[in-house]
Amino acid sequence: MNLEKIMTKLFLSCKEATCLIEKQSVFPLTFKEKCRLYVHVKMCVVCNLYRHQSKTIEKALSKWINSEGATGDLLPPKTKERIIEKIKED
Amino acid sequence: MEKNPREVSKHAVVSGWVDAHGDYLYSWAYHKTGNREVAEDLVQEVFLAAVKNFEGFKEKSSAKTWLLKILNNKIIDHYRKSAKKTVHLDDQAFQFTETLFNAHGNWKANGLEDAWSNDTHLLDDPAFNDVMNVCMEDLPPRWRLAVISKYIFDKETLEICQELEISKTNYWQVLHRAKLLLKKCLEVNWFGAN
Repeated sequence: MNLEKIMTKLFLSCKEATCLIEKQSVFPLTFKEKCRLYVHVKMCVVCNLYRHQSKTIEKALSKWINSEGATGDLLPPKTKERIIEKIKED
Repeated sequence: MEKNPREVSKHAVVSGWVDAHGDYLYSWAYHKTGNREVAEDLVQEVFLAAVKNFEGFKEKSSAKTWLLKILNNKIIDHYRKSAKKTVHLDDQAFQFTETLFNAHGNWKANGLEDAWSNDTHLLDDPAFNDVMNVCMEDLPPRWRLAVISKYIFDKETLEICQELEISKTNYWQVLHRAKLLLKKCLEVNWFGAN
């Protein structure tokens, strides 16, 4: 068994570690999960960066959701008229 | 058909809202769905629902807020419907995220790991929001629903899971895969390109 395989068995693969990072953002981790993630992130530069990236993506998402889109995206006047007609019929 | 005065005023009020808030709601819906036709249909549904549920409108909340709430529910319904039709896209996207890792499940290096931390003003750049648009479009509908519902509903995680009709285990696994895809997309379209 090679070293990578052993380390992965003991302290999670990067796939598992990043999944736990996402789990942690919505649910508490178990004690065992916390310990294994702690050690993994200490040793793994890329997962440590992932944690930072994940937070950046969260902020970007929040900003994206709350932006209204490009200005000039107006409801076409014809559609407005159609909606007003439909309201009268209703 | 003769309408009683209360009915007439209800229709007149909502018609007024079409002029006052139609553009705002359309812009919001277009931005979230990326499709003009869908956005127009959703906005129409919102106003028809507003007439139907007019009694539910409390004068103390603003009409805009009330209409936006209806719209957000319509957007979620829209995603939910398209999510059911596009399960095959989930599998494709899942397979793609698998390619980011080697046989042991560890990262394949891509050389862009550091680019993220150098970009502190990332979110202030309007061009970045455009790239976010592209990357959100790329997510399978169900994944997009999972990542945005948190911000749209402003509810506890468990409530969101109920809303999306998924288990909590499934929820964070979908979040994880969606984040991996977003990360990859941003790296290709932003960090790699700049």
